[in-house]
Amino acid sequence: MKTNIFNLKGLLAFAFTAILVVSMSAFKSSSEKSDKRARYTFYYNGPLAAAQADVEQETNWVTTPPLSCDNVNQRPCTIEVDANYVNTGSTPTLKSTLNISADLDAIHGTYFVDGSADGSMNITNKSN
Amino acid sequence: MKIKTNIWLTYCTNALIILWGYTSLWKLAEFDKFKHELYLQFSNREFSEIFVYLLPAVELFLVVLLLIEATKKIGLVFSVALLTIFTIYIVLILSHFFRSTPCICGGVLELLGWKSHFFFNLFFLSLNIIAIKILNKTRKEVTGA
Repeated sequence: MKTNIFNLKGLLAFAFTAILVVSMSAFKSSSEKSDKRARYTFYYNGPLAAAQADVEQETNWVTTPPLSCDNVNQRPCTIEVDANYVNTGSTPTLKSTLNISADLDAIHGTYFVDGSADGSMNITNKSN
Repeated sequence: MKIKTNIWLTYCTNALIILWGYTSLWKLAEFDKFKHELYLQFSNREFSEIFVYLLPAVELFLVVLLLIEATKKIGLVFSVALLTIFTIYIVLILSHFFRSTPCICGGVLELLGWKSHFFFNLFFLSLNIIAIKILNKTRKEVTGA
């Protein structure tokens, strides 16, 4: 009995899979519900004496780790955001849709991060 | 000599081809995202640099092994080994062994929770073991052993 060298139905299954991946990658999921979604940590890299506009400026946030953050609400330090708000690539950058908001530490007159459009964002500020 | 082609062996093998084909092609389609997730998982950059190419390559190689009749058995054994490693990885995640646990998987698998992903892997592991058993039985019948 003649047998095929290749699993022909398997080849069809693989071709179907390839079409599925191509079509699905064109319509990426925007779900934020999964606990498995990639999250990105950004560090504040703007002027040391941060004004409100500096904190809220997305381009002042980079992925290079800085000094340690002690979680005191006086100055901006790090934010961890959902991949939806990140331009992925070799050097990820924050999208302007993140809409970071800053609040004033009235005692020291400095601004720190207090929220954004990403409801799941983790904020760690630091002391002066 | 009549060679029996078992329909269940075909189903199980093709299900594994779809699984490995899907995960490998998705990693390549979303390469930047996959790379970032791998970096988050392994703090060692050199280690990540190797795995970012090795993982999809191994998965695609596995698909090729399963597609060629002569290498199907090697492919099935290799597939069981890889599925077992990934299942152990999920068990470690569920045991909070890792500090950061991004999913180095793709597409719809990303939407599953870790527990669901564990049972998903167990399902395919079972299919894989069934396929090996059927293949062994079929070959014994063919050789008359």
